Amino acid sequence: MRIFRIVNAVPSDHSSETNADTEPNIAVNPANPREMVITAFTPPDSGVTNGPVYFSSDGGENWALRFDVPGNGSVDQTIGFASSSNELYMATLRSDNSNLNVDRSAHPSTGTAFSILETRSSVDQPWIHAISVASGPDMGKDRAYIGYNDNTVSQSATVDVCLDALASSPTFTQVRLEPRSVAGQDGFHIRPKPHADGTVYAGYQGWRSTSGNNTTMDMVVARDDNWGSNSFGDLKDPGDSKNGRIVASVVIDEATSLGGTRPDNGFDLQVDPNDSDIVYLSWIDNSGPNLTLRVRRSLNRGADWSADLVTVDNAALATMAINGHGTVALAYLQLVAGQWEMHCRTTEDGTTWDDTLLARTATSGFMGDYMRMVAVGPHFYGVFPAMNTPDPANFFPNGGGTFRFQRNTSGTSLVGNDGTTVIAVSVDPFFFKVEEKDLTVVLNRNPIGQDEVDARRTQPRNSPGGLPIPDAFRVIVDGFTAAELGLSAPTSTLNVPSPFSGNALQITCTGNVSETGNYGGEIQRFTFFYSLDFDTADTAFNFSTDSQDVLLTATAGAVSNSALLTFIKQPDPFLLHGDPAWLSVDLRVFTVRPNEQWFNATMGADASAAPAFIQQVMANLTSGKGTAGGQSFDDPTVLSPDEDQSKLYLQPNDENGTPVFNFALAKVHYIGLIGASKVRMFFRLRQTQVTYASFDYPPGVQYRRATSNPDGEPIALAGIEGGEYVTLPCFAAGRIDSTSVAMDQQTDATNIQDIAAIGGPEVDHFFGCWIDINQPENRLPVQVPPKQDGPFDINDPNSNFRPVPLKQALARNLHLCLVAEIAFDPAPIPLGKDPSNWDKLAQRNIAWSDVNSAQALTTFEIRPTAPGLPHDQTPDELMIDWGSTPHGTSAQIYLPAISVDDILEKANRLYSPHRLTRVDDHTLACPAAGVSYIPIPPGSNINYAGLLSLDLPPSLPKGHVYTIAVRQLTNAFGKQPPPPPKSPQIQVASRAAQGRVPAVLEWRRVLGAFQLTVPVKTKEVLLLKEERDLSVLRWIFKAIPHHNRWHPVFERYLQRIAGRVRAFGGNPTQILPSPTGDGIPRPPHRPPEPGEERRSFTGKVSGLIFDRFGDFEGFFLDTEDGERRLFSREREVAQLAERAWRERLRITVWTERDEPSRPELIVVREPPVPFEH
Amino acid sequence: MASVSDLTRESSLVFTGTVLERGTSSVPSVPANDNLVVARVDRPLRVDPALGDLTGQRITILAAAPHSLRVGQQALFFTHSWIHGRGIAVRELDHVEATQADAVAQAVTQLPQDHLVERLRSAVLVVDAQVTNVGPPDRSSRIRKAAWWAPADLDIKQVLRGRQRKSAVVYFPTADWPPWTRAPHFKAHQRGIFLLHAPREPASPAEAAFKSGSFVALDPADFQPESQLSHITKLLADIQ
Repeated sequence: MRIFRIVNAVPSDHSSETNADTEPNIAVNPANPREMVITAFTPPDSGVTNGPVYFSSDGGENWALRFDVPGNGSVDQTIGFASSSNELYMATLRSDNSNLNVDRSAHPSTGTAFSILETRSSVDQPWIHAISVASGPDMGKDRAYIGYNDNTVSQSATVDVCLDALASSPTFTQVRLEPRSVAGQDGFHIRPKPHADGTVYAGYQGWRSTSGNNTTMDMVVARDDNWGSNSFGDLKDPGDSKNGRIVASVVIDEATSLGGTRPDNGFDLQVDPNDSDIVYLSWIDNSGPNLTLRVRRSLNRGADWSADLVTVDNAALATMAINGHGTVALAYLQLVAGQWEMHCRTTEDGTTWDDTLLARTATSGFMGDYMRMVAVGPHFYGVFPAMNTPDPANFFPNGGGTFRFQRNTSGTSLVGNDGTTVIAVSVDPFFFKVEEKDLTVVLNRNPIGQDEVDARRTQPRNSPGGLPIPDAFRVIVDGFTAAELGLSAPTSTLNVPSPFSGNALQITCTGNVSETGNYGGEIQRFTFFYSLDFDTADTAFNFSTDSQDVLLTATAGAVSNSALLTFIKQPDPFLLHGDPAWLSVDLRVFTVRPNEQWFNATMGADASAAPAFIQQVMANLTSGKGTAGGQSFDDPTVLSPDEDQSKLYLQPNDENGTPVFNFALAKVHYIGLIGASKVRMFFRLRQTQVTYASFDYPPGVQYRRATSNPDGEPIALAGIEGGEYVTLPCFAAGRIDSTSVAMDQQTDATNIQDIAAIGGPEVDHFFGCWIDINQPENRLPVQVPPKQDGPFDINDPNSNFRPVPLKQALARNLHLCLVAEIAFDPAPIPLGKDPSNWDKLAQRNIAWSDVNSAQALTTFEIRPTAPGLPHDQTPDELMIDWGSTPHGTSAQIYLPAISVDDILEKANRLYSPHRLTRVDDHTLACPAAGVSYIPIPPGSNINYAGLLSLDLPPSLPKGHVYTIAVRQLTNAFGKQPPPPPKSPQIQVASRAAQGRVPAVLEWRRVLGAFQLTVPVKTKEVLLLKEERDLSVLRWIFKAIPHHNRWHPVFERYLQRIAGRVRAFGGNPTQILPSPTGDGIPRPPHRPPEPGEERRSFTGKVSGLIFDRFGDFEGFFLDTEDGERRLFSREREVAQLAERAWRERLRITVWTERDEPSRPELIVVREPPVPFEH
Repeated sequence: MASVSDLTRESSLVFTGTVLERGTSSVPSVPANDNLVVARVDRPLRVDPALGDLTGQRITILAAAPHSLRVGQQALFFTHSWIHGRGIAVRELDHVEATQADAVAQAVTQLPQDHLVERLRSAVLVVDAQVTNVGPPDRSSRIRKAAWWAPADLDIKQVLRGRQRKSAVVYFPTADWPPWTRAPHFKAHQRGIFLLHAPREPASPAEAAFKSGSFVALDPADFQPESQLSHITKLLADIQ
């Protein structure tokens, strides 16, 4: 939201003044934007030897005069704050001797006058820019650049460069800009502009010839790539190879006058703070019939320039600024029908400019040779001269802003300090600001079900799962300083009023996170967190319809926004949301080994027993009302969310070689009097963790289903997106053999249940499935064949269409998201709902990555922002809560389908500050602290695959667990409910209650979320597991087609996993791909002892094996018993095999008996020839 | 210690006041500290017209010697303007007994005449004259701070100081930007007392083009109305 404000800067104490306070200049302290200074031709009070500056310490709302500038007043004066030092620098021509002083002041309200750093004589039109060095050996130093006309030389365009303006006696070095011959002198305006990366541009006007009053001049841009140390010689003109690119040659008639102001007063140069390649130049010439303002742009560091991006006739005093979002603002006066119009225009692309009319005032002779606008963060601040008639019609004539006079007024007249004497109008400096401030409401939990509230009420207050509901919504406020919001710490709050009276709904702000991690003076982004609480009477649910929307409105400063929170009742079977939502309390997973007993059911010896086992568990829990065999479904010590007890296996056997089977259970609640028949449950596995699980049936992409199976019932099918299977249904019944039968022939009778009512109280039924992802049968191809649901041909000519084991076809992470869907015909799930906001969907969307001294990792999948998003809407974002991740942790996000430059460009536009940096074309980095926001570029309907990795600091305490929550935010819209009814207690609006046309509301909602849990463990515990994981993941990787979106992600994922193995003390180069995860070395490497289960093969190498990427994979050994295939990816083995193959050496290879393809020992039998090194 | 007359001349805000508080501030942008006192203005003696009548107003004083001031004390303060805006803060040069207020008031009223005397002393020629013609301003200078000098031909009625002559040419700035905005602007037929000064040395290119033997008038006091003739004559007699 853009907020315009004008304040007449003359303080009320000077209400009797009638000075011509023209030629204003402004500086705003980037380190504390509430602190700002204005200069103008305001004379000192009689008897005062120091000239004044206007200053404000409250963001420009109140201004005072400070008499601290040596020189008995100033002729020309420009000012600039350095970026971070709080120092104000000033270049002023003294009134008493016309000398240039470069001054410095620590703070506008200090009691000391400006100190003089440098003095020059015979100069004109000084223009200063200051900057603090942000990094490198000179970090913390202030640089100052003063452009001026040195009238002691003809080639007069000069920049004084000071590389350490904070020094007690700074050194200023004059750099002459003009290498070409001039007509007497150079033009009046020299505009240096430094960039934080050390690039310094300087624009000047090279006078080439004069004819009468006409001066022909070049608009020249010079550049220095090392803070001004290269004599501004880094940009040559292609015409004469001299320093300074000639952008245009124009004519200016010095004798013309516009509203009493002389011409040639719109020269300005600005550089994009995010990209020093992008530079804008403006000037006003009368090459045409009028004085015309022109703006041009270079995108390649001044080498090439556009044509006019915008032109304005009869313009004066133009000034530009570029904010942290890359938005360019252009402000100028324009003489229209004999009056000055003050315009402020902005563009984001350089071609489309908006226009806001700030003021329309009378002319009054000379208005100065310049005015100025600056940008700090997302905001623009400027000052313009105007006649001070306090007529409201003069300011924002077209609306759009507010204004204020400090000096005394009465009606449309000025009055003096006595409050009655009418004072003649004169020119005053008018401060203006254009602030980009945004407030976004993010509904983290929506809708809120009465059942959930009631269930939470049974839990201890403030416990997980109890009331109040934590983190129910968030308010993101951008473009403010901490002081503007009254914030001083993470515990500071921003109140959001309850839409209900009394205690029906209590909203509590529980704290905030600042983008920068501190609460200083910088403009930044804050995220506030809110919990919801309800009275015991459930007054908030006292409505007759199934659901009702209530309006939440948050306000910060002058910015407010609203969202609709939906309250629903619960007549149908439902699953409870998780807390957090990506870890449903009603969806649990567990692993079982042969002959184990769970919930009074005993697992058989092998996989064939799995369906009967889970079906028995379901039946026992339902009949036992959630408890069977002494074990309760709700008991976290039985079905724990903790990794060690609930981790699913991709390998068929555990670390001890014992077969292991994965299962899931879902608890369905029913509260009602009628009962529910044919309540079906569909379980689906996803490829990895996802932020997008919106319900999409019909027609079904992720949630595909067949309408009728052999039982005449709908059955879940594998989800298909972009030619690959993205979800996999799991069943309590055994999976059909998809090599012979189509998957729509699957049945799952025990996951269709009738729930009988028991007169009102809650009834719970249990559903379940066998998650057979770790089984070896070939069941699904990696790429969708024409017969997308099978049967699949194991001999299909296209190898990608042949069925492979499920984990190869689907698993793209060690931890897969599981979603449970209640398919209950009378209550279909609306399109777009997801497990976080609909009670018939539940998810388990969490990954673990143990760390010691290694990276924490997870792959993930996010949805692209919808293509064609309107320009004024925010793209989807990732909102990453780094939780208590230790200080010093850094994160990388790898998204191979997205250009990091696109992300950074959007981040620069969206956020005040941000901490995202570029690692490579597709990898972002940021500190893992607080909350990070990452805009998601638009894309097709193929989700983006990515990898999140964290580098944690060393020596973390064992046993600590860190959690990182990744949410995808998207836009949500609704219509404003009518005003609350006047009836007594519940002031909640009903959307359907009145016929008034409602306003459209826009807010943000969480599209989906997942969690990465990072436990700290010892290396010894981690190594074997990590080696097994690397082994099975390498095997999965072999099946991923090169063109598949997961290929680059998985490749980097494997590199990082290998790094983890190395960090835990293993040797990843020795680990072979294996479907069982057992491709790991078996020390010691020695010849087999008698009795050991080893075999040997002797022969000659008959061939070398390379995989599709050309990597060595193994070799063929020609033995007396035939050719044997042996696998190894070791570089040394490759060298040895190649040598043995080339030189026909006879070798003996020893292997384990149960792994006859993996060499344990190789003996070269022939006399060795010296090896090359 | 400077004399009261010197202090009066060097100060921009002179008043008698009563100390109300010590170590506090009445101006939001000036944080309280031990060197500050807040005083009520009892009698303003020298105040810039832009500030209006300050009687009864609270003023924050950055005291030269804070411990020499006590709450309730009345004193005559010589100060410089420091902060004007939502209150006034000043830097104290010195203070004396409030009983000297009348003498200081007299000194304040004398300030314009002191300035006029200074201008009379520095003038090369003081004449009672009438402007017969004003030439066009010279705008040929490419210097942005150019004065855009215009010549005014004077028909001298009486030479009050300097060499006798019948006519003279005086150049005056016509530019309406600093530092020229306060200079007198002459018009044809204008009659009065002209305090004519020699052009500065070294001359700018524009000044070098002045007619030989011409003069400049830069200060508002360099032109006085005809009604001041006898007064100026007396002042000139006094400074001879």
